[in-house]
Amino acid sequence: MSSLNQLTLTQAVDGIKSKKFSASELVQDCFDRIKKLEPHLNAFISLDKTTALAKAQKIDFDKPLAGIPIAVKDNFCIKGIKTTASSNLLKNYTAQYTATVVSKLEDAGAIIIGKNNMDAWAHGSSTETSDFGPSKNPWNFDYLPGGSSGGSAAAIAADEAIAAIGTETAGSIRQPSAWCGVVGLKPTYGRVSRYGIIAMASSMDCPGPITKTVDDAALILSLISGHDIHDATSLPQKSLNLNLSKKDLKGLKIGLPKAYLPDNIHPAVKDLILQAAQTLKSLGAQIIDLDVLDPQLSVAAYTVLQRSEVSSNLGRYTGIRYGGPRSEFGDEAVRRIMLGTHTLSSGYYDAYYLQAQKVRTLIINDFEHQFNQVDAIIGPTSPTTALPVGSSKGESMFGEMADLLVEPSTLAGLPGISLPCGFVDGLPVGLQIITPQLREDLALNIAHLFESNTDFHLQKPKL
Amino acid sequence: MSSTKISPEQLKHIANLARLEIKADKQNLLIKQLSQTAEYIDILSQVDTKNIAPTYQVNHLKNVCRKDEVGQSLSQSEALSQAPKTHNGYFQTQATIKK
Repeated sequence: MSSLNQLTLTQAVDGIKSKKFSASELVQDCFDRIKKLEPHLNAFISLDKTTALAKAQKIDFDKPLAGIPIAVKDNFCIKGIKTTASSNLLKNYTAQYTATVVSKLEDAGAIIIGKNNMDAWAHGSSTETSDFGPSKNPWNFDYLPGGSSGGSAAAIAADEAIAAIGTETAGSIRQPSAWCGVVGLKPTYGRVSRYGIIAMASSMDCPGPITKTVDDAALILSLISGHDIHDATSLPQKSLNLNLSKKDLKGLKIGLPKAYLPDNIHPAVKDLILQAAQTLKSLGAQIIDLDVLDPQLSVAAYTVLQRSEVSSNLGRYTGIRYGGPRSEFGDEAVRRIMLGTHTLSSGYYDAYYLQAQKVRTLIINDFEHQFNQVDAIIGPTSPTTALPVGSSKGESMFGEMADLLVEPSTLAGLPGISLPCGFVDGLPVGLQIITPQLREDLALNIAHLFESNTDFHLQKPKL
Repeated sequence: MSSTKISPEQLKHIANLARLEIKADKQNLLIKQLSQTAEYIDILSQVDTKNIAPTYQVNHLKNVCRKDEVGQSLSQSEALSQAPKTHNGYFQTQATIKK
């Protein structure tokens, strides 16, 4: 039998409940894998094997995630545990309270085995801005895993954990999931509580699952979503029950924006997306070409809003209540704080920040218009496959260009899922599916049917 | 808005607002990088947004209040546990007013 750490979440849940194996064996297999691969991958910032194994000894079989080893990105606070957001400034910070998402996972019986490396403060799409060294892509250690939830995506692709939780502001779940060949779901803004997460851009930040299958993502979302009194932007809707029961896509209209297949996209990536569209068509969907707003406009609006919110959110790091002095911010954080301070400053606010919020309205209106014609929108998650280690250095717009195709949906607060749809030169490619707000069920059902009719998700890196 | 290029004086002004100290050897590169980004975001100025309202909040929640009830909070020692400097149960800060 292969190692237990290779199981999907639903397989692992079934295995523990039916007592085919114990939670201790499952946790131990994950840590064996971690021990073997971490010198190459650097996917974790911290690990707690002793506590994880102790918890595995006494699990409650009635809980939906009983004994399941889960990794969380290092920007989730867990009381008594070091929480750094991969930054020097917080290298000695021990969280004083626990994020709602983590509490929900633990209440569901999950065992948090460790915390994943990320771009420092979630500023980036490579993990190269981590103050503790980049993570590597399990498909090829010379390549980046993407980011900012790159450690989480790498850990799942390498079977170091059964599932992981990341956060996305624009692309930070979907893009590393695409580059690492796993499933990443960014929920509707407000669907999942942001309480206890080190904030990046508060009007866009969304926590969500990174998993091996679409089923696994649906299970995690059903457990972590719901209103939270501690997050005033969390939606009042009750936790959703996701039933992935659609048998085909008959009657469904799926839009493929021409602008999501731009001239400078990797031609092989484009081919795979067109093939994916054909697969969806063969399942009964009607594929419709869409004319959408130029994504470059979203990049500009997103850049202004994100930098502005970053400068505001990172204003709290004064070195008085927690963390080190502001001189410990890395280069990328300094660049973002500086630009955001500029765009919010007197004399520039109207031209940049206010104008970007107005353009955001135009982008939302454009999506509303598109969703009058189609039920869902597809495209590549990223214009390229994973880029080589070193690609982001000194590039002040690296993240924005890597996330060109996910930024429009982010600005509109829409849900989106990325799932594997093929390989180019041994590196995975992700297909993204975007739906209207609160229609994660539709995105997941389309993704589930695509996954059930392809075998890309079954391919594993040779490690 | 005039030129998108960030001047050394502007850099100093922004750094002061952001309470960041930019070391001399990093100033030129930072000016270059910020100017590049400023140039990129300048495409926003070409968009006609007449009569368009700004969007600050995407999921249409308004005036969210919770019940005014006292709940659990951090104890004083927990709240102070991560502070670099404390004094008699307070956070210790640098003086902001000169004597």
